[in-house]
Parts: sequence; C-alpha cells; structure tokens
Amino acid sequence: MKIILSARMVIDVEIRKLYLKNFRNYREEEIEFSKNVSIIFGENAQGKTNIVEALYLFATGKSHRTNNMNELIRYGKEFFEISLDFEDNNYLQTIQIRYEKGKRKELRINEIKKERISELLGVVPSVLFAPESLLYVKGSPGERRKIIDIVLCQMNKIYLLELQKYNRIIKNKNVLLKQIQFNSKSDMQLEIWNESQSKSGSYIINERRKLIENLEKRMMRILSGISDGREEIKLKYRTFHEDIHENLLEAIRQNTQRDIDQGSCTIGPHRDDLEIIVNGKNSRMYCSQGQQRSVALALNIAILEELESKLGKAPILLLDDVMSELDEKRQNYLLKIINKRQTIITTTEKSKFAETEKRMISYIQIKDGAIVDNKKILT
Amino acid sequence: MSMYAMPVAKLIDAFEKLPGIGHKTAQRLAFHILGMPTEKAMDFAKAIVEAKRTIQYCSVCGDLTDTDPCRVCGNEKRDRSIICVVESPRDVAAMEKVREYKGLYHVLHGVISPMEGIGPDDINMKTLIQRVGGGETREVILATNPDVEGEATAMYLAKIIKPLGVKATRIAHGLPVGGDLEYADEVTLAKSLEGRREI
Repeated sequence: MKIILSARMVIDVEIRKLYLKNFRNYREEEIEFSKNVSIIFGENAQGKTNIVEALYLFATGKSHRTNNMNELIRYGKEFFEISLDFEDNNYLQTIQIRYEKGKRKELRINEIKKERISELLGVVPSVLFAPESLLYVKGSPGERRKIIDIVLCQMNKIYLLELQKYNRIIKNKNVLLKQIQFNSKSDMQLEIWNESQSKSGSYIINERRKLIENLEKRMMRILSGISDGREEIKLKYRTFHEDIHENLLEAIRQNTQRDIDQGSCTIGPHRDDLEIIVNGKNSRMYCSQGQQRSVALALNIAILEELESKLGKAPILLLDDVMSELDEKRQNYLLKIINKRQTIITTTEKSKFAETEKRMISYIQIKDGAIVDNKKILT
Repeated sequence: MSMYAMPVAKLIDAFEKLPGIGHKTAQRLAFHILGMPTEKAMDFAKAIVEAKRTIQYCSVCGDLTDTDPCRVCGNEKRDRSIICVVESPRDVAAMEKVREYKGLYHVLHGVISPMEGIGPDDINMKTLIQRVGGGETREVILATNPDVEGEATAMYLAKIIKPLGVKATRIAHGLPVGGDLEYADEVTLAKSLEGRREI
C-alpha cells in the first residue's frame, strides 16, 4: 500500500534551546543555538559530543554511542532529563526525555506525556556526521543495518512497527529452535513462526530495497561532486537467501535443518547487509581510507536529502568533530550544504569556520561539563 | 521494620502484590479500608472469599463461571455453530457487552509464546480442538490480540481447524468506531487502509 502525498514545501524545523540535567557530565545547563550555525568548541573530553548525543537522542530515541541508557546518567545520579525547545512552522514547541534507572524512557511533547518513545520519530529529525560514520563503510553488516533502520523508522512508523514485530518473532523462534534441537523432534509450531517471520521480513526487505535504491541515485550525484567523478558507486542489498530462493518463506523452510542445528534463525533481514560497491569492488575491504571517507560522507548527505524529501522537514545537521578529517574539496561541499540548514558543529579549534558566509553564528564554549560562554555573532 | 502495626503492614503488602498497584496506592487502599465501617469491610472480605470459593472454570469453554457449564455454554438460545476464541475471560466480558454476538466462546487463558515458555499444550487448546471436532461447529472466530504471539496463536489454530472442514476467521483490526479519523494514530490508520474493502 502506497500513499502518495502531493509535492509539498520543506518546512524548516529550528531548534532553539537545549536543557540538560544530569546528562553525561552535565549537572544542569542550558544552551541556546543559532538558527544557522552553532559552533561548540573546547578541549577534548569536556562534553562537546554529549550535546550532539542529546540532540541525536531527540531525533532517534537512541544514543549513537551506547545502547545502555544508564551510561547517559551523570555519575552518582539516578536519572537524567533533557528538553529541547524548537520551532516547527512558526509554532514554538518543547520535547522532553526523562530516564530513570530501571524505568522506561519517558517522552513529553509540549508537556503532554506520550505512550511510546517512538512518537518522537520524525519530530525533530537530524543527521549525524561523526567519526563513527566511517563504520557505515568499514564496520560490520550490523552497523549498516542499524543506520538503514534508523532512517526508515524516522520516515515510516509502519516500518518501526514491523521491525519491532520482527525482532520479537525472531526471539520467539530462536527459543523454539533451541527447544527442537534439545528434544530432537519436529514441532508444528515452527511453521507458524516461519510464516510470521517471512511476512514481516518481506516487508522489511522491500522497504530497505526501496530506500537503498533512492540512496544510490543520490550518492552517485553527490560523489561526483566531491571526488572529481572518478568513482562509480553501487549499493546492493545483500540478502543471504537469494542464492537459495527468491521467496523468503521458501528459503526459510529450506534452511530449517541448519536453523535447528544452530539453534537460531540464520536467514532473514536481521542477517542482511548493504554492500557499498565502489568501482566494482566492495568498499568495506578494497577502498582507501580517503575513499571510505568520501563514501561515508556521501551516504550521510544522501540520508539527509532522503529524510528531507520524505518528511517535508529539513533535518538538523550534527557535525561531530568531522571537519578536520576532510580535505578542502570535501569540506567545501559540506559547507555548501551547511549554508542551507541549521547546523551544530563541535570542534577543538574555534577559528576554522570564520569563513562561512554572513550568517548568525553561535559560539558555545564548553569546559568540564559547563557552558563557559554562549554568544551570538553575526560574521 | 515497618512503621505500621503488623496487621496494617500485612494489608498493605497484600494490596501491593496486586497487578498495577504500587506502594503508595497500596497504602491508600489499606487506609481507606481501615476507615470503612466494620460491616462494609466485612462485606468486602466476604466478596473476595465467596468469589474465590464459587467461581470456577467452565468445563466446556474455560471461562470463569459460578455454574458448570457456564451461562453462555448452557444457554440453548445461543448459536452453537460458532465459537469465538479469546485469550482471557476479560475478552469474553468485552465481547458480551457488544450484544451482537450470539455464538459460543472459548477461553485460551494465554497465547503461544516460546519466549515465555508457553507452548500449545500449556494453554486451553486441546478442549477447543475436541469441541470443534464434535461436528456442531461451522465457524471459529479467532479473536486473539493482534500482537506477535496473538497472531501466531491464531495462525496455529487455523492450521488445525481448517483440515477439520470448519471455517476459521480472524477479527478485523483498524479504526475504532465512533472515533474520528483525525484522532487515529498513523499506524492504525495505515493498517485500516491496508484492510480496506469495496462497498
């Protein structure tokens, strides 16, 4: 089922103020952002990335650095609370996340408590460019599935629902497979879980394929802008069962004995990968460090464009300590994108961005989990 | 080391063990009872004991009842050719409120969930299959919840029921009636688009 929305304008979402309490190394701080570029500077290990992490949490409901929410609570405290004032279509709103050890994350939008944390998806979208982004290219298939899923969940609530369903199905089926292995007798129940898995799984694979197709087109264009057009890029959704069978259910059925032997589901979207092929070679193994950087950057920009076109909202750009890693050409390409969108940059050297166009810049100086200075300058 | 006299502490503990009751609510309930006239408190205690003593599971459908078979199973006016399968007695109560449904019920008391260690033999499924195989049944409505385990249970039952020559149907999911379209969440709305039909 496809719902086609008429072409619409991109609305600007503008973040205004971030409030942090007991978050990482912050006791209690308030940070004001510029509507253009905000530069967070300070020495290493003072808490710059923690601000980016908080903003990313508002976009995705997850930290990009850890799955353990307890790590986000200030040492010796029991909870953290962060809130973000933002303007969407001239309407000033607040989004708040509170997490207490051993409890569920609590979400409030405009002071109204929401049932599920997932309701924040798509509200204040952002795209993160961080040193970790290189893992999209270099890392394990899991890293690539994670970013693809994060993007899809922000654009499509049904995808989120199916993904949650799928994960639960896999957990159930894994337990069942272990039981079958232990009792060494077949179970009629398995076929039910196979069918459930393939139903949700096929939807997930299909949505991922559509996204990857769009990202590929965008990346081709972006890469030619940052690397003299010498690189030819292909994205391939790699699903292990295709060698066995086109149809996921058939493939799962044929693979049953192996699943039982291993006591877990060995095929399905939870094992798939996104292969990034540069000049005919898998970029994970065969690319130079510089090429890998270009590819990671192009993928992030493609994600930004895709989110923007699907959500009808301009995502916030989060650049965590990445400028220094890029050569001039790539820096310039990124600056062109920054010039059109609200951007948060962390850096150790304040001076590097003085040459951006005449725009409002906020300089935020961080020292040891505290805001030393937060002033706006029109360059 | 409770700061309350032992009987009060015991009462609070008893409340706190109930589902959905935290310590504060348990305290409030306990003090409310202590503030009641003795007679009312006795009635309350009696109600608990009596319900516990007289209520049993219906030997046919598994619903909670004070007669066996229960009032639905024993009612000659109900349509004996349809059985609606639900997860819990609460679901029977919900369906009965509709007053539209004239068939029989079957309460599973749970759903298949390997994660929770619950298999088909651990829920009230065997008696259902016996009932359906009895020849009187034409249709089984599978009304388990639309979550992962509820779906799996419905699919499992359909697989057993269909070869018996009995129709297996699944309840529809989508928009609540009486609610405005604009208040429906996106997922519900999308699901109801998916399940749309021609009129």
